[in-house]
Amino acid sequence: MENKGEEIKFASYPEGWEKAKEMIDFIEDEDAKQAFMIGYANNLLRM
Amino acid sequence: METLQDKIKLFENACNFVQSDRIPTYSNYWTYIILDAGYTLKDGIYNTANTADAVFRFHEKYGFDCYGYFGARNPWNVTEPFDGNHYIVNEAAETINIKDKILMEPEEYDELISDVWKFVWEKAIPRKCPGTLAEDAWDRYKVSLQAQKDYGAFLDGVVGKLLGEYQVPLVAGAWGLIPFEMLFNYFRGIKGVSIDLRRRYDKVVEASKACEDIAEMPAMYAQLEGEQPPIFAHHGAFCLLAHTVVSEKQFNELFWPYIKKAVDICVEKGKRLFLFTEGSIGRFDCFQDIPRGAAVLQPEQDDVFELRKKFPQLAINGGMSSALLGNGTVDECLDYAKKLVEELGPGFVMGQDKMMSFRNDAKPENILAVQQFCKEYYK
Repeated sequence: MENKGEEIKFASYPEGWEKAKEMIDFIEDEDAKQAFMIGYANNLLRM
Repeated sequence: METLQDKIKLFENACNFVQSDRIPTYSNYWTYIILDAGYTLKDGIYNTANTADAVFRFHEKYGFDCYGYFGARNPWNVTEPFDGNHYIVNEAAETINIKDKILMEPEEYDELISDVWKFVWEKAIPRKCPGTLAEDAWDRYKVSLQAQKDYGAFLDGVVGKLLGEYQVPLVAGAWGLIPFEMLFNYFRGIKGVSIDLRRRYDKVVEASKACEDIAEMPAMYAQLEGEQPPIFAHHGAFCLLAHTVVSEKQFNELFWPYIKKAVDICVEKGKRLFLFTEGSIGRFDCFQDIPRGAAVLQPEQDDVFELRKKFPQLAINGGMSSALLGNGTVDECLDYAKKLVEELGPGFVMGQDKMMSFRNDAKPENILAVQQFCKEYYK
Protein backbone atom coordinates (compact mmCIF):
# COMPACT_ATOMS: atom_id res chain seq x y z
CA MET A 1 0.00 0.00 0.00
CA GLU A 2 2.82 2.41 0.83
CA ASN A 3 4.31 2.03 -2.65
CA LYS A 4 1.09 3.18 -4.27
CA GLY A 5 1.29 6.51 -2.44
CA GLU A 6 -1.24 9.02 -3.71
CA GLU A 7 -2.49 6.56 -6.33
CA ILE A 8 -4.76 4.97 -3.78
CA LYS A 9 -8.34 5.77 -4.63
CA PHE A 10 -10.56 6.85 -1.79
CA ALA A 11 -13.36 4.57 -2.95
CA SER A 12 -11.27 1.39 -2.89
CA TYR A 13 -11.40 -1.39 -0.34
CA PRO A 14 -9.42 -2.23 1.68
CA GLU A 15 -6.74 0.23 0.44
CA GLY A 16 -8.82 3.41 0.51
CA TRP A 17 -10.52 2.39 3.74
CA GLU A 18 -7.19 1.74 5.45
CA LYS A 19 -5.68 5.00 4.26
CA ALA A 20 -8.78 6.87 5.41
CA LYS A 21 -8.43 5.19 8.78
CA GLU A 22 -4.76 6.09 9.03
CA MET A 23 -5.61 9.74 8.46
CA ILE A 24 -7.66 9.81 11.67
CA ASP A 25 -4.88 11.42 13.67
CA PHE A 26 -6.99 12.44 16.66
CA ILE A 27 -7.58 8.85 17.79
CA GLU A 28 -4.71 6.59 18.79
CA ASP A 29 -6.32 3.28 19.68
CA GLU A 30 -6.72 1.04 16.62
CA ASP A 31 -10.03 -0.47 17.76
CA ALA A 32 -11.38 3.00 18.44
CA LYS A 33 -10.28 4.08 14.96
CA GLN A 34 -12.12 1.15 13.41
CA ALA A 35 -15.24 1.98 15.44
CA PHE A 36 -14.96 5.59 14.32
CA MET A 37 -14.72 4.48 10.67
CA ILE A 38 -17.85 2.34 11.02
CA GLY A 39 -19.75 5.29 12.46
CA TYR A 40 -18.33 7.55 9.76
CA ALA A 41 -19.36 5.17 6.97
CA ASN A 42 -22.84 4.99 8.47
CA ASN A 43 -23.07 8.77 8.43
CA LEU A 44 -22.04 8.85 4.76
CA LEU A 45 -24.79 6.36 3.97
CA ARG A 46 -27.39 7.88 6.24
CA MET A 47 -27.11 11.65 5.91
CA MET B 1 -32.91 19.47 43.06
CA GLU B 2 -33.27 15.99 41.62
CA THR B 3 -30.00 14.38 40.70
CA LEU B 4 -29.11 12.41 37.61
CA GLN B 5 -29.50 9.20 39.61
CA ASP B 6 -32.94 10.29 40.87
CA LYS B 7 -34.09 10.65 37.29
CA ILE B 8 -32.59 7.35 36.18
CA LYS B 9 -34.48 5.73 39.08
CA LEU B 10 -37.74 7.16 37.71
CA PHE B 11 -37.19 5.30 34.44
CA GLU B 12 -36.09 2.12 36.19
CA ASN B 13 -39.22 2.23 38.35
CA ALA B 14 -41.49 2.80 35.37
CA CYS B 15 -39.91 -0.10 33.52
CA ASN B 16 -40.62 -2.33 36.55
CA PHE B 17 -44.13 -0.94 37.19
CA VAL B 18 -43.06 0.62 40.48
CA GLN B 19 -44.75 3.92 41.29
CA SER B 20 -42.44 6.88 41.92
CA ASP B 21 -43.36 10.13 43.61
CA ARG B 22 -43.97 11.67 40.22
CA ILE B 23 -44.46 10.68 36.59
CA PRO B 24 -41.26 10.64 34.52
CA THR B 25 -41.36 12.55 31.25
CA TYR B 26 -39.64 11.86 27.95
CA SER B 27 -39.18 14.35 25.14
CA ASN B 28 -39.94 12.97 21.70
CA TYR B 29 -39.53 16.51 20.36
CA TRP B 30 -37.16 16.69 17.42
CA THR B 31 -37.15 19.42 14.78
CA TYR B 32 -39.78 21.17 16.93
CA ILE B 33 -36.95 22.08 19.30
CA ILE B 34 -35.19 24.05 16.55
CA LEU B 35 -38.36 25.88 15.54
CA ASP B 36 -39.43 26.56 19.14
CA ALA B 37 -36.12 28.36 19.69
CA GLY B 38 -36.84 30.65 16.74
CA TYR B 39 -34.23 29.26 14.35
CA THR B 40 -34.80 28.37 10.74
CA LEU B 41 -34.16 24.71 10.05
CA LYS B 42 -30.82 25.29 8.32
CA ASP B 43 -29.60 27.82 10.90
CA GLY B 44 -30.59 25.48 13.69
CA ILE B 45 -29.00 22.39 12.23
CA TYR B 46 -25.89 23.42 10.25
CA ASN B 47 -24.71 25.78 12.98
CA THR B 48 -24.14 23.48 15.94
CA ALA B 49 -23.87 26.41 18.36
CA ASN B 50 -27.46 27.18 17.46
CA THR B 51 -28.43 23.53 17.81
CA ALA B 52 -26.98 23.42 21.30
CA ASP B 53 -28.65 26.71 22.20
CA ALA B 54 -32.02 25.36 21.03
CA VAL B 55 -31.63 22.13 23.05
CA PHE B 56 -30.64 23.95 26.23
CA ARG B 57 -33.40 26.55 25.91
CA PHE B 58 -35.95 23.81 25.33
CA HIS B 59 -34.82 22.04 28.49
CA GLU B 60 -34.84 25.22 30.57
CA LYS B 61 -38.33 26.03 29.30
CA TYR B 62 -40.00 22.62 29.66
CA GLY B 63 -37.70 20.47 31.82
CA PHE B 64 -38.15 16.92 30.50
CA ASP B 65 -36.38 14.09 32.28
CA CYS B 66 -34.80 12.64 29.13
CA TYR B 67 -34.44 13.67 25.49
CA GLY B 68 -34.73 11.55 22.37
CA TYR B 69 -33.23 14.45 20.44
CA PHE B 70 -30.40 16.47 21.93
CA GLY B 71 -28.80 17.59 18.68
CA ALA B 72 -27.60 14.20 17.41
CA ARG B 73 -29.37 13.73 14.14
CA ASN B 74 -28.23 15.57 11.04
CA PRO B 75 -24.46 15.80 10.53
CA TRP B 76 -24.93 17.10 7.00
CA ASN B 77 -21.56 18.85 7.15
CA VAL B 78 -19.98 15.38 7.04
CA THR B 79 -21.56 14.28 3.75
CA GLU B 80 -21.71 17.57 1.88
CA PRO B 81 -17.98 17.71 1.05
CA PHE B 82 -18.73 14.58 -1.01
CA ASP B 83 -21.96 16.04 -2.48
CA GLY B 84 -23.86 13.38 -0.55
CA ASN B 85 -26.70 15.14 1.27
CA HIS B 86 -29.99 13.49 0.32
CA TYR B 87 -32.15 15.70 2.53
CA ILE B 88 -34.54 18.31 1.19
CA VAL B 89 -35.10 21.29 3.46
CA ASN B 90 -38.12 23.48 2.79
CA GLU B 91 -37.81 26.53 5.02
CA ALA B 92 -41.17 27.99 3.97
CA ALA B 93 -43.04 24.82 4.93
CA GLU B 94 -40.60 24.10 7.80
CA THR B 95 -40.16 20.53 6.63
CA ILE B 96 -37.24 18.15 6.10
CA ASN B 97 -37.69 15.24 3.72
CA ILE B 98 -35.32 12.56 2.51
CA LYS B 99 -35.17 10.90 -0.87
CA ASP B 100 -35.86 7.16 -0.93
CA LYS B 101 -32.49 6.17 -2.29
CA ILE B 102 -31.38 3.01 -4.05
CA LEU B 103 -27.69 2.30 -3.50
CA MET B 104 -27.82 -1.35 -4.55
CA GLU B 105 -29.48 -2.96 -7.54
CA PRO B 106 -31.34 -6.25 -7.00
CA GLU B 107 -28.75 -8.23 -8.95
CA GLU B 108 -26.02 -7.04 -6.55
CA TYR B 109 -27.20 -8.97 -3.50
CA ASP B 110 -24.49 -11.62 -3.91
CA GLU B 111 -21.82 -8.96 -4.15
CA LEU B 112 -22.95 -7.39 -0.87
CA ILE B 113 -23.23 -10.79 0.81
CA SER B 114 -19.72 -11.88 -0.24
CA ASP B 115 -17.98 -8.75 1.11
CA VAL B 116 -20.25 -6.17 2.65
CA TRP B 117 -17.53 -3.65 3.47
CA LYS B 118 -16.07 -3.77 -0.03
CA PHE B 119 -19.54 -3.23 -1.46
CA VAL B 120 -20.30 -0.37 0.92
CA TRP B 121 -17.02 1.45 0.41
CA GLU B 122 -16.65 0.94 -3.33
CA LYS B 123 -20.27 1.08 -4.52
CA ALA B 124 -22.90 2.16 -2.01
CA ILE B 125 -21.10 5.18 -0.59
CA PRO B 126 -19.91 6.46 -4.01
CA ARG B 127 -23.49 6.25 -5.29
CA LYS B 128 -24.71 8.22 -2.28
CA CYS B 129 -21.68 10.54 -2.17
CA PRO B 130 -20.33 10.94 -5.73
CA GLY B 131 -17.54 13.20 -4.50
CA THR B 132 -15.78 10.11 -3.14
CA LEU B 133 -14.91 9.29 -6.77
CA ALA B 134 -13.61 12.78 -7.59
CA GLU B 135 -9.93 13.45 -8.27
CA ASP B 136 -9.79 15.59 -5.15
CA ALA B 137 -11.56 12.99 -2.99
CA TRP B 138 -8.79 12.93 -0.39
CA ASP B 139 -8.96 16.71 0.02
CA ARG B 140 -12.72 16.43 0.39
CA TYR B 141 -12.20 13.68 2.95
CA LYS B 142 -10.09 16.01 5.11
CA VAL B 143 -12.98 18.48 5.21
CA SER B 144 -15.51 15.73 5.89
CA LEU B 145 -13.34 14.15 8.58
CA GLN B 146 -12.92 17.49 10.33
CA ALA B 147 -16.70 17.93 10.21
CA GLN B 148 -17.16 14.50 11.80
CA LYS B 149 -14.63 15.40 14.48
CA ASP B 150 -16.32 18.77 15.10
CA TYR B 151 -19.69 17.04 15.29
CA GLY B 152 -18.37 14.67 17.94
CA ALA B 153 -16.97 17.59 19.95
CA PHE B 154 -20.31 19.41 19.68
CA LEU B 155 -22.18 16.35 20.95
CA ASP B 156 -19.69 15.88 23.78
CA GLY B 157 -20.37 19.47 24.85
CA VAL B 158 -24.14 19.06 24.79
CA VAL B 159 -24.00 15.75 26.61
CA GLY B 160 -21.64 17.20 29.23
CA LYS B 161 -24.04 20.02 30.03
CA LEU B 162 -27.11 17.74 30.08
CA LEU B 163 -25.43 15.30 32.45
CA GLY B 164 -23.69 17.92 34.57
CA GLU B 165 -25.56 21.18 34.89
CA TYR B 166 -29.02 19.80 34.10
CA GLN B 167 -28.61 16.32 35.63
CA VAL B 168 -30.47 14.77 32.69
CA PRO B 169 -29.68 11.16 31.68
CA LEU B 170 -29.15 10.06 28.10
CA VAL B 171 -31.67 7.64 26.63
CA ALA B 172 -29.37 4.62 26.34
CA GLY B 173 -25.75 3.62 26.04
CA ALA B 174 -25.76 0.80 23.51
CA TRP B 175 -27.59 1.47 20.26
CA GLY B 176 -28.10 -1.23 17.67
CA LEU B 177 -29.58 -1.16 14.23
CA ILE B 178 -31.49 -4.22 13.06
CA PRO B 179 -29.45 -5.23 9.99
CA PHE B 180 -32.54 -5.42 7.76
CA GLU B 181 -32.94 -1.71 8.43
CA MET B 182 -29.76 -1.18 6.38
CA LEU B 183 -31.48 -2.69 3.35
CA PHE B 184 -34.62 -0.66 3.95
CA ASN B 185 -33.04 2.69 4.82
CA TYR B 186 -29.88 2.66 2.74
CA PHE B 187 -29.29 -0.01 0.14
CA ARG B 188 -32.60 -0.91 -1.52
CA GLY B 189 -35.00 1.77 -0.34
CA ILE B 190 -38.58 1.25 0.76
CA LYS B 191 -39.90 0.28 -2.66
CA GLY B 192 -36.95 -1.91 -3.57
CA VAL B 193 -36.87 -3.89 -0.35
CA SER B 194 -40.64 -4.34 -0.42
CA ILE B 195 -40.33 -6.01 -3.83
CA ASP B 196 -37.33 -8.05 -2.70
CA LEU B 197 -39.25 -9.45 0.28
CA ARG B 198 -41.57 -11.09 -2.25
CA ARG B 199 -39.19 -11.95 -5.09
CA ARG B 200 -35.87 -12.80 -3.42
CA TYR B 201 -36.56 -13.31 0.27
CA ASP B 202 -33.65 -15.73 0.79
CA LYS B 203 -31.23 -13.08 -0.47
CA VAL B 204 -32.77 -10.53 1.88
CA VAL B 205 -32.15 -12.86 4.81
CA GLU B 206 -28.55 -13.53 3.73
CA ALA B 207 -27.85 -9.85 3.14
CA SER B 208 -29.29 -8.92 6.53
CA LYS B 209 -26.91 -11.34 8.22
CA ALA B 210 -24.03 -9.89 6.21
CA CYS B 211 -24.90 -6.41 7.49
CA GLU B 212 -24.61 -7.26 11.20
CA ASP B 213 -21.16 -5.70 11.49
CA ILE B 214 -21.91 -2.44 9.71
CA ALA B 215 -25.16 -2.19 11.67
CA GLU B 216 -22.93 -2.28 14.76
CA MET B 217 -24.76 -5.20 16.37
CA PRO B 218 -21.59 -6.84 17.81
CA ALA B 219 -20.65 -3.52 19.39
CA MET B 220 -24.11 -3.16 20.88
CA TYR B 221 -24.03 -6.61 22.46
CA ALA B 222 -20.51 -6.00 23.80
CA GLN B 223 -21.59 -2.75 25.43
CA LEU B 224 -24.66 -4.38 26.93
CA GLU B 225 -22.56 -7.22 28.28
CA GLY B 226 -20.04 -4.87 29.85
CA GLU B 227 -20.03 -2.19 32.51
CA GLN B 228 -21.78 1.01 31.51
CA PRO B 229 -21.47 4.38 33.24
CA PRO B 230 -24.56 5.31 35.30
CA ILE B 231 -25.66 8.08 32.97
CA PHE B 232 -28.40 6.35 30.97
CA ALA B 233 -32.16 6.07 31.49
CA HIS B 234 -31.91 2.67 29.79
CA HIS B 235 -28.96 0.51 28.82
CA GLY B 236 -29.65 -0.44 25.21
CA ALA B 237 -31.92 0.78 22.45
CA PHE B 238 -33.28 -0.08 19.04
CA CYS B 239 -35.05 2.26 16.67
CA LEU B 240 -37.40 0.21 14.49
CA LEU B 241 -38.82 1.53 11.23
CA ALA B 242 -38.48 -1.17 8.58
CA HIS B 243 -40.88 -3.52 10.41
CA THR B 244 -43.60 -1.50 8.73
CA VAL B 245 -43.08 -3.46 5.48
CA VAL B 246 -42.69 -7.03 6.80
CA SER B 247 -45.11 -9.78 7.80
CA GLU B 248 -45.10 -11.26 11.28
CA LYS B 249 -43.30 -14.34 9.97
CA GLN B 250 -40.64 -12.16 8.38
CA PHE B 251 -40.37 -10.07 11.55
CA ASN B 252 -39.71 -13.22 13.53
CA GLU B 253 -36.79 -14.04 11.25
CA LEU B 254 -35.37 -10.61 10.40
CA PHE B 255 -35.91 -8.66 13.62
CA TRP B 256 -36.77 -10.77 16.60
CA PRO B 257 -33.49 -12.73 16.98
CA TYR B 258 -31.57 -9.47 17.44
CA ILE B 259 -34.06 -8.05 19.91
CA LYS B 260 -34.29 -11.37 21.77
CA LYS B 261 -30.51 -11.56 22.16
CA ALA B 262 -30.39 -8.04 23.58
CA VAL B 263 -33.33 -8.83 25.88
CA ASP B 264 -31.60 -11.97 27.13
CA ILE B 265 -28.47 -9.97 27.96
CA CYS B 266 -30.59 -7.40 29.77
CA VAL B 267 -32.34 -10.09 31.81
CA GLU B 268 -29.02 -11.64 32.75
CA LYS B 269 -27.40 -8.31 33.63
CA GLY B 270 -30.38 -6.57 35.22
CA LYS B 271 -30.53 -4.03 32.42
CA ARG B 272 -33.30 -2.71 30.19
CA LEU B 273 -33.96 -1.81 26.56
CA PHE B 274 -35.64 1.19 25.03
CA LEU B 275 -37.59 0.11 21.95
CA PHE B 276 -38.45 3.06 19.75
CA THR B 277 -41.04 1.64 17.36
CA GLU B 278 -42.05 3.95 14.56
CA GLY B 279 -45.28 3.05 12.76
CA SER B 280 -47.21 0.26 14.49
CA ILE B 281 -45.80 -2.65 16.51
CA GLY B 282 -48.88 -4.22 18.14
CA ARG B 283 -49.31 -6.97 15.54
CA PHE B 284 -46.06 -8.73 16.53
CA ASP B 285 -46.86 -11.31 19.23
CA CYS B 286 -43.21 -11.97 20.06
CA PHE B 287 -43.08 -8.87 22.26
CA GLN B 288 -45.22 -10.85 24.72
CA ASP B 289 -42.07 -12.89 25.43
CA ILE B 290 -40.10 -9.94 26.84
CA PRO B 291 -40.10 -10.21 30.65
CA ARG B 292 -41.30 -7.32 32.78
CA GLY B 293 -38.50 -4.90 33.53
CA ALA B 294 -36.37 -5.82 30.52
CA ALA B 295 -37.74 -3.26 28.09
CA VAL B 296 -39.91 -0.23 27.60
CA LEU B 297 -41.86 0.48 24.41
CA GLN B 298 -41.94 3.89 22.75
CA PRO B 299 -44.88 3.37 20.38
CA GLU B 300 -45.98 5.74 17.69
CA GLN B 301 -49.16 4.82 15.81
CA ASP B 302 -50.41 2.10 18.14
CA ASP B 303 -53.31 2.74 20.52
CA VAL B 304 -51.41 2.63 23.81
CA PHE B 305 -54.41 1.28 25.73
CA GLU B 306 -54.73 -1.66 23.31
CA LEU B 307 -50.98 -2.11 23.43
CA ARG B 308 -51.10 -2.44 27.22
CA LYS B 309 -53.77 -5.15 26.91
CA LYS B 310 -51.65 -7.08 24.42
CA PHE B 311 -48.32 -6.59 26.20
CA PRO B 312 -49.33 -6.13 29.85
CA GLN B 313 -45.79 -6.71 31.09
CA LEU B 314 -44.20 -3.95 29.01
CA ALA B 315 -43.92 -0.39 30.24
CA ILE B 316 -44.99 2.27 27.77
CA ASN B 317 -43.06 5.46 27.09
CA GLY B 318 -45.24 7.80 25.05
CA GLY B 319 -48.96 8.12 24.58
CA MET B 320 -49.53 11.86 24.82
CA SER B 321 -51.54 12.82 21.78
CA SER B 322 -49.80 15.21 19.40
CA ALA B 323 -53.22 16.03 17.95
CA LEU B 324 -54.25 17.36 21.35
CA LEU B 325 -50.92 19.01 22.12
CA GLY B 326 -51.10 20.83 18.82
CA ASN B 327 -54.80 21.56 18.48
CA GLY B 328 -56.43 21.01 21.86
CA THR B 329 -56.90 23.21 24.88
CA VAL B 330 -54.91 22.92 28.10
CA ASP B 331 -57.88 21.25 29.78
CA GLU B 332 -58.25 18.72 26.98
CA CYS B 333 -54.56 17.86 27.23
CA LEU B 334 -54.75 17.47 31.00
CA ASP B 335 -57.84 15.25 30.76
CA TYR B 336 -56.03 12.97 28.34
CA ALA B 337 -52.84 13.00 30.41
CA LYS B 338 -54.88 11.90 33.43
CA LYS B 339 -56.50 9.11 31.43
CA LEU B 340 -53.06 7.89 30.34
CA VAL B 341 -51.73 7.79 33.89
CA GLU B 342 -54.82 6.23 35.42
CA GLU B 343 -55.16 3.49 32.79
CA LEU B 344 -51.49 2.71 32.21
CA GLY B 345 -50.50 2.90 35.86
CA PRO B 346 -46.96 3.07 37.14
CA GLY B 347 -45.53 1.29 34.08
CA PHE B 348 -45.72 4.50 32.14
CA VAL B 349 -43.50 7.38 31.08
CA MET B 350 -45.22 10.45 29.69
CA GLY B 351 -44.01 10.92 26.13
CA GLN B 352 -45.52 11.98 22.83
CA ASP B 353 -47.13 9.73 20.25
CA LYS B 354 -44.87 10.76 17.38
CA MET B 355 -41.58 12.46 16.62
CA MET B 356 -42.61 16.08 17.14
CA SER B 357 -41.33 17.82 14.04
CA PHE B 358 -43.61 20.68 13.10
CA ARG B 359 -44.45 23.96 14.77
CA ASN B 360 -48.12 22.96 14.93
CA ASP B 361 -47.37 19.65 16.64
CA ALA B 362 -47.67 21.33 20.04
CA LYS B 363 -48.62 24.57 21.69
CA PRO B 364 -46.04 25.62 24.31
CA GLU B 365 -48.75 26.16 26.92
CA ASN B 366 -49.96 22.59 26.42
CA ILE B 367 -46.45 21.16 26.83
CA LEU B 368 -45.98 23.17 30.01
CA ALA B 369 -49.33 22.12 31.44
CA VAL B 370 -48.67 18.41 30.91
CA GLN B 371 -45.19 18.74 32.37
CA GLN B 372 -46.59 20.41 35.48
CA PHE B 373 -49.28 17.73 35.75
CA CYS B 374 -46.60 15.02 35.74
CA LYS B 375 -44.73 16.70 38.57
CA GLU B 376 -47.79 17.01 40.79
CA TYR B 377 -50.08 14.05 40.06
CA TYR B 378 -48.76 11.66 42.71
CA LYS B 379 -48.07 14.36 45.32
